[in-house]
Amino acid sequence: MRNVRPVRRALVGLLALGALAVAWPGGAFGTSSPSEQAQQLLERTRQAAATHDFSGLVTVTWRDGATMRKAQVEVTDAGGVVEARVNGDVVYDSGARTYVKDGNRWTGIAVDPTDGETPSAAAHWKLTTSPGPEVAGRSTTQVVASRRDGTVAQRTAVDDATGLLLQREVLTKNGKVERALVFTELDLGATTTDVTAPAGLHAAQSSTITTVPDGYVAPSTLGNATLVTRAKQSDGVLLWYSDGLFSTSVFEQRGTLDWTALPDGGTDTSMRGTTMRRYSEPSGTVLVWERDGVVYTCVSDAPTDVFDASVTALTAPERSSLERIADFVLGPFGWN
Amino acid sequence: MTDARDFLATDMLSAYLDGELTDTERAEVEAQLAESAEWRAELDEVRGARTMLRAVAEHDAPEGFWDAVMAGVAADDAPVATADATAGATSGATVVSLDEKRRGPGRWVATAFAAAAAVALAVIIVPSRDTVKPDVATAVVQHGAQGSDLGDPIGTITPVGPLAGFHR
Repeated sequence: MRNVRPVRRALVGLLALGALAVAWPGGAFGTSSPSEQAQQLLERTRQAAATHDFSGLVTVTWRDGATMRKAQVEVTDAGGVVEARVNGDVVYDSGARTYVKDGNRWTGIAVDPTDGETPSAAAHWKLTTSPGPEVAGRSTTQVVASRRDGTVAQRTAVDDATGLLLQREVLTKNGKVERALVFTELDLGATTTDVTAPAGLHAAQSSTITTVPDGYVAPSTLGNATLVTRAKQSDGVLLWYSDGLFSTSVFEQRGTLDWTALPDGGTDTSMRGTTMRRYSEPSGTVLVWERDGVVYTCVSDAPTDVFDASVTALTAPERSSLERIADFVLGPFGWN
Repeated sequence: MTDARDFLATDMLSAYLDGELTDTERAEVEAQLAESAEWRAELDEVRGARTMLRAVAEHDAPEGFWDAVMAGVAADDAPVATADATAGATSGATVVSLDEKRRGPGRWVATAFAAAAAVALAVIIVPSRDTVKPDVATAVVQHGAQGSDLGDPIGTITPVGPLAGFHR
């Protein structure tokens, strides 16, 4: 088992110190704008998990159609290794690698280093801070991110003492909570993880690339989100977009989508004439569709309206004259 | 959908680009190109399509493809015989215009050759597509893992937890 990467840990520590210095009363935090203060708090949550060991119990809720679903997750953080456990099944994240254990089966998932910087959330969202609710007996500061029309997209509660994220709510445009997580118990201090990935387990192969191979598309932006990472995997490419607040993964595979192989529980939807299968998961929304011989599987933690608006860049535009010629040549001999 | 007349023009232009026309045919095509912006546009499109085709790797035709093609060709045989008989009676000039050529006995032969050429192109351009069965659950986990590398691991990994049993 590998612990957190030393270089990453050191870098994170330095960043955390920097963030603390900025946030310290009388420091630069005191003179920054409300939006900058909120941005700094969000940055602080990203570092805090690497600098504070803890164990706790988190309630995760998510909207699936008209139903709100709920799950209890045991979370531990030992030396930057985060482990989420539900009924004996585990997701284990060590930074460069993530492993999933369900039953006796382990799956290794590669995480691709980013080849770009994450955009500032303040560039696309109106960020404000205010005294937050008490969460798991701890005082918090609330960071609210609003859409340009003023509707709230996300509320987070950040632990005043440690900077840990203690609560997160993602909201629809009409103010309903789509997904949420909240600590109901939190114990700070040294802890250990008793999960050990089996020796010899390798994560799926993946390598960062600068341009995608022919036949795949990689728009530089999806809505307000910027393309941060491109990676080549054994069966396609992975694109990762971020707007500083939410992120979207786009998996592209060449071929014909086998709709019957998709898991149960999804609903069909249509966007710009393209039929898609939609899933509502605790960590985000999934859309799957096929276009021009490429199968897209997109995952996003953004509110549904934001996600739907962003993926239009990947749905069918007008066909070019060259594509129409190909249609002509192939049309009489189609067998699909 | 492009009609048979356009298909023939496309074929003539393709043969023109390949240098396969007789001197007379080439002169006719060039005259048509000089007169017709539509033909010039067609020539550009054919040239573009050829460029695209050259960039595509060769693949085997899918199972059943040739059976479908041969069935289509067989279905076209009857009207060809009728058209040949009619056109043969009206065609006798040594040099024919493109319009006459379209109506003449060579039309169906040319169409058959064009169809064969299109079949060949189709075999080259159309890959035998793989069937994709996306692993949705793994995609969700990967998204969370990727997000934790740049973002907040609590917010990205914790909600993935309830998915851990997805293989069962």
